[in-house]
Amino acid sequence: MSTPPNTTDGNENNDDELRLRSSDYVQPPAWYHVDDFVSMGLGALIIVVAAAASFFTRPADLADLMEAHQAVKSQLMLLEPSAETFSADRKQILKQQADIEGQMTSMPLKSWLVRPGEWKGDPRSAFSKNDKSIVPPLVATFAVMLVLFTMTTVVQKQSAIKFALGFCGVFSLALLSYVLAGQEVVKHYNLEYALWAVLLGLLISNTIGTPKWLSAATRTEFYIKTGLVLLGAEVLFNKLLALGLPGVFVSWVVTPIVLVSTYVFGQYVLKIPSKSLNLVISADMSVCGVSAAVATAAACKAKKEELSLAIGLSLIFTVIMMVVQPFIVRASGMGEVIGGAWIGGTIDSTGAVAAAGELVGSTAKDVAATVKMIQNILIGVVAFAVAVYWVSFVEPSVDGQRPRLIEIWHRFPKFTLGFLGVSLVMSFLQSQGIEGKTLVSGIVDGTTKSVREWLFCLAFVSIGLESNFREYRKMLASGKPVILYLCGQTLNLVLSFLMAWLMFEVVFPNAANELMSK
Amino acid sequence: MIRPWRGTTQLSIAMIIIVGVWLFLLPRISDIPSVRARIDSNRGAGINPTAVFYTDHPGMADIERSVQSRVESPGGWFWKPSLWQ
Repeated sequence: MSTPPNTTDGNENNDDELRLRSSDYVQPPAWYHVDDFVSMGLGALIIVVAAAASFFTRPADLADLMEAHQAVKSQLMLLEPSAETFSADRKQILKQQADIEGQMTSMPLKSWLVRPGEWKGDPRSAFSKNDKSIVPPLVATFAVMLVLFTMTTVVQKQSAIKFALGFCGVFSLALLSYVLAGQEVVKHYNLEYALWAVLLGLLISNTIGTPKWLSAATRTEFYIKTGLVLLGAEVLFNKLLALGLPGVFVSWVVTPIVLVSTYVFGQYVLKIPSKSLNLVISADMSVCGVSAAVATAAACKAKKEELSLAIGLSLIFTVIMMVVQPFIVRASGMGEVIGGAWIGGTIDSTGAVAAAGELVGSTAKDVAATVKMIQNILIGVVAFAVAVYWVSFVEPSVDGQRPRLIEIWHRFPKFTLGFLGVSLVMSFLQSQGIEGKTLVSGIVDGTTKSVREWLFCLAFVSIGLESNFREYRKMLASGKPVILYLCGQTLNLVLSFLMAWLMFEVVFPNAANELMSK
Repeated sequence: MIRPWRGTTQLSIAMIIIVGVWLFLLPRISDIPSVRARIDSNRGAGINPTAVFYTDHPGMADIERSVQSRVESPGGWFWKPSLWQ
């Protein structure tokens, strides 16, 4: 995310200098000046600490629990589908399985990494959970982040004091965004923290102007890249077959077709001036909303305003689609499985998908959320492919020819390698039986997920603080971004429905029957 | 002409609007029966509508377990295309 470059001093920490043009190509700076490397280092440190915390606090009776888990799984396989008690027995066994997995998963850091909760009329209730104040853990969350990020400024030879002072302000705005997003109406209509974080930042930057002391901590690139490295821990390729082949076809075949078609449509029909804006909108609309937009924007070095515009579009259309689509599914009688797959393949964020699926039925919710989960995994591949495409074909080389390999390597957003690397390591761990699965769960649910959410929120606040309303007006003046989203989403709706119908009605009707069985 | 107070005034007005909407308007909207029903339905089903990624959704592990038990169901019906029957 950047605005056009203006200097060539090689300091990649300045967001304004990240979009390199051919004439700006310079020798790469020292590794510690490059956010990508520092982000990967910090991400790895957090994951290692989380893994160690989870591993060394495993329950003493782990062996017994593993045995019990195996026994429960065997019971599940031995159930007789024709038996009258099959459904009740399966539910009972699944509950036992969940209990055992819960006991096996150790998350010692979870209660110390929190964010404000839900509230209705009194925002103070956002700061308590189960009648217990979450202020001390919130202070701990703040302290941990302050220490970690200040450490990186020291590594990057920047002023730690200035950063620490600014971070207090940026963190406070992020906290306020969470409180605004936690109001129950706002929350249940899917108006996520990202929207409020950007708006609060914009409000300050476009009224009184972003104070200099605050600017020292508006490190959008760094927060996003570190957040993405941590997100890699949640991109588990083992989940690809969670819904069998039908799930793969709905999520991994339709989505890339829609992404590429929308991008081509934006380039050659709508002639959107900014390729990065086109790509970010295409990805967030076709893959999975906010997270896909963030990953793609970082991979193609989009401007901050382009990222926030794409997210804004996604959130607005998500609110509409999560109300309209369940109504269409019910009115058309397309059934819970096809309807669920259709909802999961088209609505952008997981929470909205689950809420919309629930309005159709319990099976629809399960299918929709699972399709979305499989689609979420695509984000790693998309980010990597976009990064390769961008540095190889979009950014021209110094002489206007196709760039040489070394030039591609220098320009390549290295954090995507960290993102993909973490994803592969965690997928490998996840594949190592129940022990690996619970360790991954301990790392992700216990630590990295909370840190990643905070990092993205800090990034959105920073984007707002560094943006100008005029930029949005300019981008929206032609209406092309909205038209692109609408056309892409229409194609997505049609193709996802056709694929869901083909898979669950024509090719794998047994899969639909199995999912509908009680 | 430079008007240094203009930005401060705009920010103050925006803050007043935010406080008014979040503390007075939204709590009343949440009492509208259809809105209340939606909130209660989501809560009852353990849904967090603001979940960005699948791991943010609190009920995802249960959904995964339930779907997996069907995909791996005895008889392997899930994987058999209609053409093979």
